[in-house]
Amino acid sequence: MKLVGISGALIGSKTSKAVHEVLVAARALDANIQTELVDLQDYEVEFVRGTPLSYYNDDTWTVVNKVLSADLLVVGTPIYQASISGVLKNLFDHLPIDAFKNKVTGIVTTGGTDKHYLVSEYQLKPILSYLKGIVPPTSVFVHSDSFNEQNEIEDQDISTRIKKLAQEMVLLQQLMNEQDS
Amino acid sequence: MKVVALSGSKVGSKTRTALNYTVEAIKAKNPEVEVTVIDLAEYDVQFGDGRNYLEYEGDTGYVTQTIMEADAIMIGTPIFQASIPATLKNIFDLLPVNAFRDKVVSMLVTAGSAKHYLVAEQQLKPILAYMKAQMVQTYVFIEEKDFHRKEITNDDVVFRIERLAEDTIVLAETFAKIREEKEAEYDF
Repeated sequence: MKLVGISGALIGSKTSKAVHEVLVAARALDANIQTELVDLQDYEVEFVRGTPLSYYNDDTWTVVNKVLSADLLVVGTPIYQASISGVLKNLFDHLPIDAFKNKVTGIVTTGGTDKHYLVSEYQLKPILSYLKGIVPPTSVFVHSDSFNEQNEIEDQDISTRIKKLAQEMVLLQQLMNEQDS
Repeated sequence: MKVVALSGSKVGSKTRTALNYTVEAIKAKNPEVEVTVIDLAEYDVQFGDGRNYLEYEGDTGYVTQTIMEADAIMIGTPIFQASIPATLKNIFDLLPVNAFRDKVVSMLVTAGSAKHYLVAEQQLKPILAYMKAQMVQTYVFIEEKDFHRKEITNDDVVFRIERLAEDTIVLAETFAKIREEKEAEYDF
């Protein structure tokens, strides 16, 4: 099973760290899970222009195919203007409409205020559902204060939630794969 | 008064076509209003990187500063993946948190399916509210079948567009007047 983590932040390192932690938790649960972190800071994905994928640069091609080749995904985004980042939405805009069919799509968000806690529920989840993703009941919101100066997550509650998210994702995906076979 | 008509995607022509109708409607009734059309398909805007909007150069700087100088903004947007396109979200990301304070913002949505009618209500309006916009609550939703060869063929849609243009200007004028009166109350 291949788990791909997407980090949708062009600045800072908290979102990619939080996504990384989910990947680590998933590997701890099942040694057969391969993981890959796609940090959008490392790629120059072009804005959608409406042409077929082959007309875009190599990075766009690479990132879209990494996402499509995943069996399950964890999507991480900072909260900008009470919604997901533009760079993450752009990646979604590149995907076919049933890109996440039969795939579990977990959510991790990072933000500077607890008031943004519900953004994942109201802004991100509807898009994942539209793309046919199965969104697990648990999602993780990590407040900036939960990171220490070394960019490590210090908050024990958050680490517990990250493990819970990983558990739900792996279990749901296993159940779905059994159903298919 | 300065109005910006912002067409939010790089794909297709329907949103721009519809926005042109609103621009014409404003110009016909309010010749004194200065209308600037920003079609994101015509500009090379970069992804937001957390800078202040005044520090961007080139197309990015032009687009953000023109929006910030406007009194009213008419946003035209298609629906991508049951939400707004990334090109439009990126414009919001480039702007400060209170970018739309004391500005009127109205919305025009084009879509291939009536099933996307609520996207503006659930995905776009919360962002505009967060950015402190005074919204024209009623938006115009236009379906693919209302267009033919870059023209709107449904008279009812044209009527609703004219109403949207009028509401945008009336609301902007009203808020400007209220603010003037409020400021006149202070003695300096």
